[in-house]
Amino acid sequence: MSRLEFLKTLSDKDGTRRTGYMLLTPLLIILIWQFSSSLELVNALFLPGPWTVFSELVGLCLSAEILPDVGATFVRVFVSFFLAIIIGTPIGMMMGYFKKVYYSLEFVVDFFRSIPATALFPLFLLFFGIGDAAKIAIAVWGSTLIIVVNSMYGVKHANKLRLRAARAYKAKGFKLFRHVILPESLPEIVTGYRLGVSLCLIIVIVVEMFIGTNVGLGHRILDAQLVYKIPEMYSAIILTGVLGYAINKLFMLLEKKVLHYSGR
Amino acid sequence: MTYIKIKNLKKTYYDDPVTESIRDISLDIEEGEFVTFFGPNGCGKTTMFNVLCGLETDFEGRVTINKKNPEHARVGFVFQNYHDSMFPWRTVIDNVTFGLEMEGVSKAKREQVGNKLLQKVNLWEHHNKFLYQLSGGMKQLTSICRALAFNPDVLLMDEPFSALDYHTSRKMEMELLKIWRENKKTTLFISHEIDEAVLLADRVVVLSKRPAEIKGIVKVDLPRPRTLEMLRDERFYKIRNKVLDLFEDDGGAR
Repeated sequence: MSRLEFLKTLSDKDGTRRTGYMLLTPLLIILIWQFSSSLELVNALFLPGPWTVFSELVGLCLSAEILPDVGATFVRVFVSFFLAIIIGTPIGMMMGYFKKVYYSLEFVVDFFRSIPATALFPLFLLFFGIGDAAKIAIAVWGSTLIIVVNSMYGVKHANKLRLRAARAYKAKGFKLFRHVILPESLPEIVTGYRLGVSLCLIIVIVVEMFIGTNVGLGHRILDAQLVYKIPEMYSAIILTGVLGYAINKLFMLLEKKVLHYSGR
Repeated sequence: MTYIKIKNLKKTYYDDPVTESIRDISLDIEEGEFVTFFGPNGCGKTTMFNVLCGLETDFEGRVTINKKNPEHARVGFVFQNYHDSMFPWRTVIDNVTFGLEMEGVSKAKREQVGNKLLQKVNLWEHHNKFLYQLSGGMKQLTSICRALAFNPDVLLMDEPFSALDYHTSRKMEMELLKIWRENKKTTLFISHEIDEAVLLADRVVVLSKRPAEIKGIVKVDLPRPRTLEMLRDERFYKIRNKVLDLFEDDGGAR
């Protein structure tokens, strides 16, 4: 299915069938989960039944006890993602446009991209301490690299004929950038943003688990696990998934609205 | 008086492998003339157009348009690929007025020019649509309007209708001639279609295989305004055969 057809299905008014398909697999997973728990195929201590987990989740949400964790994680993801966009987009676009910048940075970017950001924990702890700064810095680091690479290819893959046409009509300098190169490369840049925000969430959760913090979904997951509050642990994991999914959906909506021309 | 002067134009690409694209072309074109270029694929026609619109500055020989160097001349370029040469994120009117916007012309003035052109070609009702909402013919018409809105010294058209179906391209040819009659822009038109090349032109320039040289120039003395009925005219056939004879001289059609 092409991207266009895919986006069209999203705007389909008769969405009943679509919703059916969308619910099919999650329901199947819950069903299998329920079966294995009823038949005691897995130890209930490690995997309590869905009912237990969901009632715990609802309880946590209703008592608003977990909201500070969701909020803290969300803020960390948001701040680090925002910084990654600001840093990564211009660097990537310049790498895509200027050969000299590309040759100067290509090695560094590809080298550090091959190292998992989480492996650099100790380094970031040294520089930023154990506060929020370190958590955010490490998420910024990881997602910036992804955004740089996608922004670079966005510019590199810009349609050559379109640039030629723009130049034939005397577009140059900032106007060429603003009216042609930017909109031309934006679809690929935004793909980088989507990958980047997911990575931000992953890094923030992991960092919350392993670098000390008092609040955050990662912290909640690890704490619950340590004291064997397993339903609570699963609740926090599910909430993390929901958060990631919601952010992704938000991006798709934005893409449909702003990048209506993408692939057309 | 000569309006476009091409004198001993030569172009070789010193890449690997070295490609001699244009061997030696000299041609004088009058103001308001409609000249078509007919030749085999990859014979350097596009290179010549790149020189004329100032995108290719590294060449031998001398080229002037309205006494100006190509980089300083105003050129309206219509590309074969209307899909990739237009801006899908801009509306029809914003595509048409792109060149003026790049020059810093005010929005009000731009829209006045753009709307007038769109009205002439019956596209005005679509002015706020995006390109992808139009048919191929309409897109290419928008592209022609973009070229004209720029108020060019010369209109360069690189096989503009070859991606359209037979019926649409015939229709577009007539539309183009109508526009040309009204504003008499000097027009250089590359064509792969012999009927099209003859029907539109005052003169047909027949080019050789790469490296390009002029094999001959055929004057088309059919009366204007031209009509599609002329395609069946005996005089048309005669001219067409003359072009074909020149073309096949070095196995261009084989």
